[in-house]
Amino acid sequence: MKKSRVGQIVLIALLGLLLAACGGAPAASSWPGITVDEASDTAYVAYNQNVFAVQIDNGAQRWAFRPEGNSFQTYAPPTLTADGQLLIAGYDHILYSLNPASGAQNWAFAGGGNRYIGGALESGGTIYAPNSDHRLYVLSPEGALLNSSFSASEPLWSQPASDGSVIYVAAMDHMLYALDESGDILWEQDLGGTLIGSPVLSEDGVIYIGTLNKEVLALDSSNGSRIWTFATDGWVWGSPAVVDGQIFAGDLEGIVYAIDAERGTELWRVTTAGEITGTPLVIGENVYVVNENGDVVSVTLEGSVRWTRNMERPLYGSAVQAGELVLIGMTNVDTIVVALDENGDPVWSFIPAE
Amino acid sequence: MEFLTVPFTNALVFIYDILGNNFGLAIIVFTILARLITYPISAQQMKSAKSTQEMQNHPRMKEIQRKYKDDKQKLQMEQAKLMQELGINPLASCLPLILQIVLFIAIYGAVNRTLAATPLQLLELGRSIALPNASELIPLNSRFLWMDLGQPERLYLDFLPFGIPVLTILVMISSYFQGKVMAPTSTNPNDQGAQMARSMNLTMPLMMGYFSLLFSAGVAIYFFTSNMFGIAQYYIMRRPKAAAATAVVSGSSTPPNSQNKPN
Repeated sequence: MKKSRVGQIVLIALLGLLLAACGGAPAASSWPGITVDEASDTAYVAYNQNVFAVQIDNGAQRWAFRPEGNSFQTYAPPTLTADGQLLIAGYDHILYSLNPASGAQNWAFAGGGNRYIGGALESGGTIYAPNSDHRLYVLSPEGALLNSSFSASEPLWSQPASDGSVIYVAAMDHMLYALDESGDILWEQDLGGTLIGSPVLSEDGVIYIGTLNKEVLALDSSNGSRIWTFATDGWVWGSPAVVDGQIFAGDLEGIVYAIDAERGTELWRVTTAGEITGTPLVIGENVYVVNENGDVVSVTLEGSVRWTRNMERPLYGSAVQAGELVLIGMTNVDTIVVALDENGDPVWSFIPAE
Repeated sequence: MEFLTVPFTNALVFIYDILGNNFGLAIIVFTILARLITYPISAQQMKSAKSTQEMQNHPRMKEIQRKYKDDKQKLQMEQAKLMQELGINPLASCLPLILQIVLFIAIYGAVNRTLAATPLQLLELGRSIALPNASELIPLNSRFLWMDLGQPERLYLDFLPFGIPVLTILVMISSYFQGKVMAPTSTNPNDQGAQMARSMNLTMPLMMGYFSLLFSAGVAIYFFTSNMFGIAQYYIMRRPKAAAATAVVSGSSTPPNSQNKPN
């Protein structure tokens, strides 16, 4: 009888492990979010259960932040505010403010009802934190709640954008919302598909955004009306990049598009070997994208592939500029960030200190 | 397991679409359909378990157990011989059980995948769905009654400082009753199968309750619906036999398993 009881306990433990392995949360549920501050020569990397400050010129670790407890995870690119705070969006329902120089915690706002998946926005000294509980939390620079009156009908996963007076919030309920500084809706527009990437504002008052309805859209920022619609082959997960009258966007079919910003017509397309989930990075005459096949692909502004480097791991999110370097976030490997030069050669790799 | 999880995910999203974007109802309907499709497998397993249980109450089995209680090797040999004579295959209930576990893991994976609460999960869902209107359906509305199906379920009441895990309690109660009605009843004090079943009937509800407490509410709804189906299936399978037994008794004949206590 005792033997059979031991057998049952072992069986139950095995079944539990099996269930966790088959459908439970993976070790990391997203990819590294990277923010660069060239003034302090630092890249801030949010990945899984840590935030790291990494020296840009050599990849050395300056500090690491990890709050107590096991529920903390973070993936959104940290937000640097004008008053010198580093905002960290936690899966533990907490928004943290750190000192960017030391990694010491300034404050923590624990009023969110679910995960913070997208990063917070700071505009005019106010903090706007989108949460998966559908709400946008408006906070003072000290982390005090000012209001949380705005609520979408589905989660908010993307960082809001602002032109200094209006806050633009992309929601998973297919809607783009324009809010005033207190969170009241000025206008809303149904874009026909889930919005994961942030809206991008041009200087001439046009909003560019990609949707899971396989479209890149140009909208009038004053009322949200469509200026043009560009159909893509796959879901557009990341934000478009806007450079010199051209829009660059990638989709989950692995295609990079260059679109005329004024007319919404295709200038060229390049097909890569895996899903593109990030925003194309434009540095000078070159466009960089990463894909799920593990490729970093460099394309000229005319649409010719310069080089492709395979990193032997699936790559998600965006390549990030750090001076003349291109930073690539890695997943499921000890190395979290690799810095490449403009020819695709590795300059340094960041492996967190023990 | 992808070969099962992907079609199950599509079926789940298809049902969700048909039911007017109600994911809670979609999980319930999907679970019932999955259990109906696998009904022959689970029915066969229940029949095999019943045969094995009846063998434990067979007079010759009791005789063998008494005679060879100090010689385990001989006891096993004689038991195997008796099973052969009675036409009972000891592995007949194992294969359906393994198939059921495989299906359970695939369904669990499909429910979890469809809820897609993180970016990697949503990417995985996007790769899995082949429905033409997937872009319009995503993200799936995870609200059902008071629950967010992607989060562990708790019912918060104004006068209580904590949330009540209603689904966890329902899953534990239904697991207990399912185990109770399905546990073999035996008059044989040496029936290890019955002893093990009684012991499992205590540990299974605890395990299922633990999973329901920690996992998303969607998975807990699957557990509860599946348990209720199992209980209903037991009573449906039992009914004709009970009628037949009544007929035999009224004809002044003793049915072979008349010494079993009613459940």
